Amino acid sequence: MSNIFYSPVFGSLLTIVLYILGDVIAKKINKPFVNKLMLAIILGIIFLAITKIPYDAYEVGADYVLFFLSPVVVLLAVPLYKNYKIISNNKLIYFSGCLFAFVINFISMNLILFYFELPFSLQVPIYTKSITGAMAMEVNKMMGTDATIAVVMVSLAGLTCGFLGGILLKIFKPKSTLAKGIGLGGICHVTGTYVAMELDGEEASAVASTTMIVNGIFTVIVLPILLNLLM
Amino acid sequence: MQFGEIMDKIKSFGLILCIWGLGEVISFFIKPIIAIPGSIIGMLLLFALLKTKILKLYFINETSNFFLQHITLFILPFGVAFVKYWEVIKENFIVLLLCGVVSTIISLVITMKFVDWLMTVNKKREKTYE
Repeated sequence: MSNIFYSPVFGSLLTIVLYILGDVIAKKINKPFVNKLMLAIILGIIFLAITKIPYDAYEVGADYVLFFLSPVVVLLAVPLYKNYKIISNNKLIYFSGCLFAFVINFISMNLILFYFELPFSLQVPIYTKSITGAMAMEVNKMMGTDATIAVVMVSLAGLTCGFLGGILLKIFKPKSTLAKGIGLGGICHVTGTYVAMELDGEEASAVASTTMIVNGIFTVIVLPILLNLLM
Repeated sequence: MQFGEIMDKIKSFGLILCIWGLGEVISFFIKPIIAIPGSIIGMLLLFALLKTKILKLYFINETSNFFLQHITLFILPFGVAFVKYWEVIKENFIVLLLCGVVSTIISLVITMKFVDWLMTVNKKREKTYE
Protein backbone atom coordinates (compact mmCIF):
# COMPACT_ATOMS: atom_id res chain seq x y z
CA MET A 1 0.00 0.00 0.00
CA SER A 2 2.73 2.47 0.94
CA ASN A 3 4.25 1.96 -2.51
CA ILE A 4 1.53 4.12 -4.01
CA PHE A 5 3.06 7.13 -2.29
CA TYR A 6 6.35 6.44 -4.00
CA SER A 7 4.79 6.76 -7.45
CA PRO A 8 5.32 10.12 -9.22
CA VAL A 9 1.59 10.78 -9.22
CA PHE A 10 1.44 11.35 -5.46
CA GLY A 11 4.02 14.12 -5.22
CA SER A 12 2.95 16.00 -8.31
CA LEU A 13 -0.74 15.78 -7.45
CA LEU A 14 -0.12 16.91 -3.87
CA THR A 15 1.89 19.89 -5.13
CA ILE A 16 -0.92 21.02 -7.40
CA VAL A 17 -3.61 20.50 -4.73
CA LEU A 18 -1.55 22.47 -2.19
CA TYR A 19 -1.07 25.26 -4.73
CA ILE A 20 -4.80 25.49 -5.44
CA LEU A 21 -5.66 25.46 -1.72
CA GLY A 22 -3.05 28.12 -1.02
CA ASP A 23 -4.42 30.27 -3.82
CA VAL A 24 -8.04 29.96 -2.64
CA ILE A 25 -7.20 30.75 1.00
CA ALA A 26 -4.90 33.65 0.08
CA LYS A 27 -7.70 35.17 -2.03
CA LYS A 28 -10.12 34.81 0.91
CA ILE A 29 -7.78 36.57 3.34
CA ASN A 30 -6.60 39.08 0.71
CA LYS A 31 -3.76 40.88 2.56
CA PRO A 32 -0.36 41.71 0.97
CA PHE A 33 1.60 39.85 3.66
CA VAL A 34 -0.33 36.60 3.17
CA ASN A 35 1.00 34.89 0.09
CA LYS A 36 -0.16 31.67 -1.44
CA LEU A 37 3.31 30.14 -1.50
CA MET A 38 3.64 30.48 2.27
CA LEU A 39 0.17 29.06 2.90
CA ALA A 40 0.74 26.15 0.52
CA ILE A 41 4.08 25.31 2.16
CA ILE A 42 2.54 25.35 5.64
CA LEU A 43 -0.34 23.15 4.48
CA GLY A 44 2.10 20.73 2.84
CA ILE A 45 4.23 20.43 5.95
CA ILE A 46 1.18 19.85 8.14
CA PHE A 47 -0.16 17.25 5.70
CA LEU A 48 3.09 15.29 5.58
CA ALA A 49 3.44 15.50 9.37
CA ILE A 50 -0.10 14.23 10.06
CA THR A 51 -0.16 11.42 7.50
CA LYS A 52 3.45 10.42 8.38
CA ILE A 53 4.25 9.96 4.68
CA PRO A 54 8.05 10.17 4.36
CA TYR A 55 9.44 13.19 2.52
CA ASP A 56 11.31 10.88 0.12
CA ALA A 57 7.97 9.70 -1.25
CA TYR A 58 6.84 13.26 -1.92
CA GLU A 59 10.15 14.08 -3.57
CA VAL A 60 9.65 11.46 -6.33
CA GLY A 61 6.68 13.37 -7.75
CA ALA A 62 7.89 16.81 -6.77
CA ASP A 63 10.90 16.45 -9.05
CA TYR A 64 8.55 16.44 -12.03
CA VAL A 65 7.17 19.81 -11.00
CA LEU A 66 10.65 21.20 -10.38
CA PHE A 67 11.60 20.37 -13.95
CA PHE A 68 9.56 23.37 -15.11
CA LEU A 69 11.55 25.80 -12.99
CA SER A 70 14.29 26.24 -15.59
CA PRO A 71 11.96 27.07 -18.53
CA VAL A 72 10.26 29.58 -16.22
CA VAL A 73 13.60 31.26 -15.56
CA VAL A 74 14.17 31.45 -19.33
CA LEU A 75 10.76 33.09 -19.68
CA LEU A 76 11.68 35.86 -17.23
CA ALA A 77 13.21 37.51 -20.31
CA VAL A 78 9.68 38.46 -21.42
CA PRO A 79 8.82 40.91 -18.59
CA LEU A 80 12.34 42.27 -18.90
CA TYR A 81 11.71 42.97 -22.59
CA LYS A 82 8.27 44.46 -21.98
CA ASN A 83 9.54 46.91 -19.36
CA TYR A 84 12.80 47.71 -21.08
CA LYS A 85 11.68 51.27 -21.86
CA ILE A 86 11.65 52.22 -18.19
CA ILE A 87 15.25 51.15 -17.84
CA SER A 88 16.51 52.80 -20.99
CA ASN A 89 15.14 56.21 -19.93
CA ASN A 90 17.39 56.38 -16.88
CA LYS A 91 20.09 53.86 -17.65
CA LEU A 92 22.82 55.20 -15.41
CA ILE A 93 20.65 55.79 -12.35
CA TYR A 94 18.85 52.51 -12.85
CA PHE A 95 21.92 50.33 -13.05
CA SER A 96 23.77 52.07 -10.26
CA GLY A 97 20.62 51.59 -8.17
CA CYS A 98 20.56 47.86 -8.94
CA LEU A 99 24.25 47.54 -8.22
CA PHE A 100 23.81 49.42 -4.97
CA ALA A 101 20.93 47.16 -3.93
CA PHE A 102 23.13 44.12 -4.46
CA VAL A 103 26.13 45.61 -2.65
CA ILE A 104 24.20 46.90 0.36
CA ASN A 105 22.49 43.55 0.70
CA PHE A 106 25.83 41.78 0.63
CA ILE A 107 27.41 44.15 3.16
CA SER A 108 24.52 44.11 5.62
CA MET A 109 24.53 40.32 5.51
CA ASN A 110 28.26 40.23 6.10
CA LEU A 111 27.88 42.51 9.11
CA ILE A 112 25.45 40.05 10.65
CA LEU A 113 27.62 37.06 9.74
CA PHE A 114 30.57 38.86 11.31
CA TYR A 115 28.95 38.51 14.72
CA PHE A 116 27.31 35.12 14.25
CA GLU A 117 28.81 31.86 13.12
CA LEU A 118 27.12 30.09 10.25
CA PRO A 119 28.24 27.08 8.21
CA PHE A 120 29.08 27.76 4.56
CA SER A 121 26.23 25.58 3.30
CA LEU A 122 23.86 28.10 4.90
CA GLN A 123 25.67 31.23 3.77
CA VAL A 124 24.95 30.96 0.06
CA PRO A 125 21.18 30.61 0.56
CA ILE A 126 21.31 33.70 2.77
CA TYR A 127 23.04 35.83 0.14
CA THR A 128 20.41 34.85 -2.42
CA LYS A 129 17.49 35.95 -0.25
CA SER A 130 16.71 39.13 -2.15
CA ILE A 131 16.36 37.67 -5.64
CA THR A 132 13.35 35.88 -7.02
CA GLY A 133 12.83 32.31 -5.83
CA ALA A 134 13.34 30.57 -9.17
CA MET A 135 16.70 32.24 -9.72
CA ALA A 136 17.80 31.67 -6.14
CA MET A 137 17.18 27.95 -6.72
CA GLU A 138 19.43 27.97 -9.78
CA VAL A 139 22.30 29.63 -7.92
CA ASN A 140 22.03 27.23 -5.03
CA LYS A 141 21.79 24.18 -7.28
CA MET A 142 24.93 25.33 -9.06
CA MET A 143 26.87 25.96 -5.87
CA GLY A 144 25.64 22.73 -4.33
CA THR A 145 23.92 24.27 -1.31
CA ASP A 146 20.46 23.75 0.19
CA ALA A 147 17.81 25.20 -2.06
CA THR A 148 15.30 24.76 0.74
CA ILE A 149 17.03 27.19 3.07
CA ALA A 150 17.05 29.59 0.13
CA VAL A 151 13.26 29.28 -0.19
CA VAL A 152 12.93 29.95 3.54
CA MET A 153 15.14 33.03 3.29
CA VAL A 154 13.45 34.29 0.14
CA SER A 155 10.03 33.97 1.79
CA LEU A 156 11.33 35.65 4.93
CA ALA A 157 12.56 38.65 2.94
CA GLY A 158 9.22 38.75 1.15
CA LEU A 159 7.27 38.51 4.39
CA THR A 160 9.28 41.33 5.99
CA CYS A 161 8.52 43.51 3.02
CA GLY A 162 4.85 42.56 3.02
CA PHE A 163 4.47 43.36 6.70
CA LEU A 164 6.73 46.40 7.00
CA GLY A 165 7.08 47.73 3.43
CA GLY A 166 4.15 50.12 3.73
CA ILE A 167 5.28 51.44 7.12
CA LEU A 168 8.90 51.88 5.98
CA LEU A 169 7.76 53.81 2.94
CA LYS A 170 5.67 56.07 5.14
CA ILE A 171 8.50 56.75 7.59
CA PHE A 172 11.35 57.29 5.14
CA LYS A 173 9.31 58.80 2.29
CA PRO A 174 11.25 57.99 -0.90
CA LYS A 175 10.30 60.64 -3.44
CA SER A 176 10.70 59.14 -6.89
CA THR A 177 8.89 56.18 -8.37
CA LEU A 178 12.24 54.82 -9.49
CA ALA A 179 13.52 54.75 -5.90
CA LYS A 180 10.48 52.83 -4.68
CA GLY A 181 10.67 50.41 -7.59
CA ILE A 182 14.36 49.67 -7.29
CA GLY A 183 14.24 49.36 -3.52
CA LEU A 184 11.21 47.09 -3.38
CA GLY A 185 12.11 44.99 -6.43
CA GLY A 186 15.81 44.74 -5.70
CA ILE A 187 15.47 43.77 -2.06
CA CYS A 188 12.06 42.11 -1.76
CA HIS A 189 11.65 40.47 -5.19
CA VAL A 190 8.08 39.38 -6.08
CA THR A 191 6.48 40.63 -2.87
CA GLY A 192 8.15 43.95 -3.60
CA THR A 193 6.37 44.17 -6.94
CA TYR A 194 3.00 43.59 -5.24
CA VAL A 195 3.73 46.16 -2.54
CA ALA A 196 4.92 48.65 -5.18
CA MET A 197 1.72 48.09 -7.14
CA GLU A 198 -0.38 48.77 -4.07
CA LEU A 199 1.49 51.81 -2.78
CA ASP A 200 2.57 53.55 -5.95
CA GLY A 201 0.89 51.97 -8.94
CA GLU A 202 1.71 50.29 -12.22
CA GLU A 203 4.97 52.07 -13.04
CA ALA A 204 6.66 51.37 -9.71
CA SER A 205 5.60 47.76 -10.04
CA ALA A 206 7.10 47.50 -13.52
CA VAL A 207 10.36 49.02 -12.29
CA ALA A 208 10.32 46.57 -9.39
CA SER A 209 9.83 43.54 -11.61
CA THR A 210 12.69 44.48 -13.95
CA THR A 211 14.95 45.29 -11.01
CA MET A 212 14.16 41.90 -9.54
CA ILE A 213 15.40 40.21 -12.72
CA VAL A 214 18.40 42.46 -13.37
CA ASN A 215 19.48 42.09 -9.75
CA GLY A 216 19.00 38.34 -10.10
CA ILE A 217 21.26 38.09 -13.16
CA PHE A 218 23.76 40.21 -11.32
CA THR A 219 23.70 38.00 -8.25
CA VAL A 220 23.98 34.82 -10.30
CA ILE A 221 27.11 36.05 -12.05
CA VAL A 222 28.86 38.03 -9.34
CA LEU A 223 28.06 36.12 -6.14
CA PRO A 224 30.08 32.95 -6.91
CA ILE A 225 33.09 35.07 -7.88
CA LEU A 226 32.79 37.20 -4.75
CA LEU A 227 32.44 34.19 -2.46
CA ASN A 228 35.43 32.53 -4.12
CA LEU A 229 37.54 35.60 -3.48
CA LEU A 230 36.47 35.91 0.14
CA MET A 231 36.76 32.26 1.15
CA MET B 1 -9.76 26.53 -27.35
CA GLN B 2 -9.08 25.63 -30.95
CA PHE B 3 -6.69 22.90 -31.94
CA GLY B 4 -4.49 25.44 -33.72
CA GLU B 5 -4.13 27.55 -30.58
CA ILE B 6 -3.00 24.59 -28.52
CA MET B 7 -0.54 23.65 -31.23
CA ASP B 8 0.89 27.19 -31.13
CA LYS B 9 1.42 26.91 -27.38
CA ILE B 10 3.17 23.58 -27.79
CA LYS B 11 5.39 25.09 -30.46
CA SER B 12 6.31 28.05 -28.28
CA PHE B 13 7.03 25.78 -25.33
CA GLY B 14 9.24 23.67 -27.60
CA LEU B 15 11.07 26.81 -28.63
CA ILE B 16 11.66 27.74 -25.00
CA LEU B 17 13.06 24.27 -24.34
CA CYS B 18 15.37 24.74 -27.35
CA ILE B 19 16.64 28.05 -25.99
CA TRP B 20 17.13 26.49 -22.55
CA GLY B 21 19.04 23.61 -24.16
CA LEU B 22 21.28 26.00 -26.05
CA GLY B 23 21.87 27.84 -22.76
CA GLU B 24 22.91 24.58 -21.10
CA VAL B 25 25.35 23.85 -23.94
CA ILE B 26 26.93 27.30 -23.64
CA SER B 27 26.99 26.95 -19.85
CA PHE B 28 28.90 23.66 -20.23
CA PHE B 29 31.55 25.21 -22.46
CA ILE B 30 32.17 28.35 -20.40
CA LYS B 31 32.23 26.46 -17.11
CA PRO B 32 36.06 26.53 -16.83
CA ILE B 33 35.96 30.34 -17.02
CA ILE B 34 32.74 31.27 -15.21
CA ALA B 35 29.88 29.20 -13.81
CA ILE B 36 26.49 30.50 -14.94
CA PRO B 37 23.36 28.27 -14.88
CA GLY B 38 22.11 27.27 -18.34
CA SER B 39 18.65 28.69 -17.69
CA ILE B 40 20.07 32.14 -16.99
CA ILE B 41 22.04 32.06 -20.24
CA GLY B 42 18.84 30.89 -21.94
CA MET B 43 17.06 33.91 -20.50
CA LEU B 44 19.71 36.28 -21.86
CA LEU B 45 19.45 34.54 -25.26
CA LEU B 46 15.67 34.91 -25.29
CA PHE B 47 16.00 38.58 -24.38
CA ALA B 48 18.48 39.08 -27.21
CA LEU B 49 16.15 37.32 -29.66
CA LEU B 50 13.23 39.53 -28.61
CA LYS B 51 15.30 42.71 -28.66
CA THR B 52 16.66 42.06 -32.15
CA LYS B 53 13.09 41.27 -33.31
CA ILE B 54 14.18 37.86 -34.63
CA LEU B 55 11.49 36.44 -32.35
CA LYS B 56 8.20 38.31 -32.12
CA LEU B 57 6.66 38.80 -28.70
CA TYR B 58 3.21 37.49 -29.66
CA PHE B 59 4.67 34.06 -30.36
CA ILE B 60 5.56 33.37 -26.72
CA ASN B 61 3.42 35.98 -24.95
CA GLU B 62 0.61 33.69 -23.80
CA THR B 63 2.88 30.84 -22.82
CA SER B 64 5.01 33.19 -20.75
CA ASN B 65 1.94 34.72 -19.09
CA PHE B 66 0.73 31.28 -18.10
CA PHE B 67 4.03 30.16 -16.58
CA LEU B 68 4.94 33.44 -14.91
CA GLN B 69 1.54 33.82 -13.27
CA HIS B 70 2.03 30.46 -11.63
CA ILE B 71 5.72 30.77 -10.85
CA THR B 72 5.15 29.88 -7.19
CA LEU B 73 3.80 26.46 -8.15
CA PHE B 74 7.22 25.47 -9.41
CA ILE B 75 9.02 26.64 -6.27
CA LEU B 76 6.56 24.99 -3.89
CA PRO B 77 8.30 21.57 -3.62
CA PHE B 78 11.44 23.26 -2.30
CA GLY B 79 9.35 24.90 0.39
CA VAL B 80 7.84 21.61 1.50
CA ALA B 81 11.40 20.23 1.74
CA PHE B 82 11.52 22.41 4.88
CA VAL B 83 10.62 19.20 6.74
CA LYS B 84 13.85 17.60 5.61
CA TYR B 85 16.04 20.48 6.81
CA TRP B 86 14.15 21.32 9.99
CA GLU B 87 17.07 20.34 12.25
CA VAL B 88 19.53 22.63 10.44
CA ILE B 89 17.08 25.52 10.46
CA LYS B 90 16.30 25.05 14.17
CA GLU B 91 19.99 25.16 15.06
CA ASN B 92 20.58 28.46 13.27
CA PHE B 93 17.13 29.92 13.70
CA ILE B 94 18.08 33.29 15.22
CA VAL B 95 20.82 34.08 12.70
CA LEU B 96 18.56 33.17 9.79
CA LEU B 97 15.80 35.35 11.22
CA LEU B 98 18.19 38.28 11.75
CA CYS B 99 19.53 38.00 8.20
CA GLY B 100 16.06 37.70 6.74
CA VAL B 101 14.41 40.56 8.61
CA VAL B 102 17.04 43.07 9.76
CA SER B 103 19.14 42.97 6.62
CA THR B 104 16.04 43.33 4.44
CA ILE B 105 14.87 46.42 6.31
CA ILE B 106 18.30 48.07 6.29
CA SER B 107 18.93 47.34 2.62
CA LEU B 108 15.46 48.47 1.55
CA VAL B 109 15.67 51.84 3.29
CA ILE B 110 19.24 52.60 2.25
CA THR B 111 18.67 51.60 -1.38
CA MET B 112 15.58 53.81 -1.71
CA LYS B 113 17.40 56.75 -0.13
CA PHE B 114 20.39 56.20 -2.39
CA VAL B 115 18.32 56.22 -5.59
CA ASP B 116 16.50 59.35 -4.41
CA TRP B 117 19.84 61.02 -3.79
CA LEU B 118 21.02 59.99 -7.27
CA MET B 119 17.88 61.53 -8.78
CA THR B 120 18.43 64.88 -7.05
CA VAL B 121 22.09 64.91 -8.06
CA ASN B 122 21.07 64.16 -11.62
CA LYS B 123 18.50 66.96 -11.65
CA LYS B 124 21.01 69.48 -10.34
CA ARG B 125 23.52 68.43 -12.99
CA GLU B 126 20.94 68.80 -15.73
CA LYS B 127 20.11 72.29 -14.48
CA THR B 128 23.71 73.42 -14.56
CA TYR B 129 24.03 72.19 -18.14
CA GLU B 130 20.96 74.13 -19.14
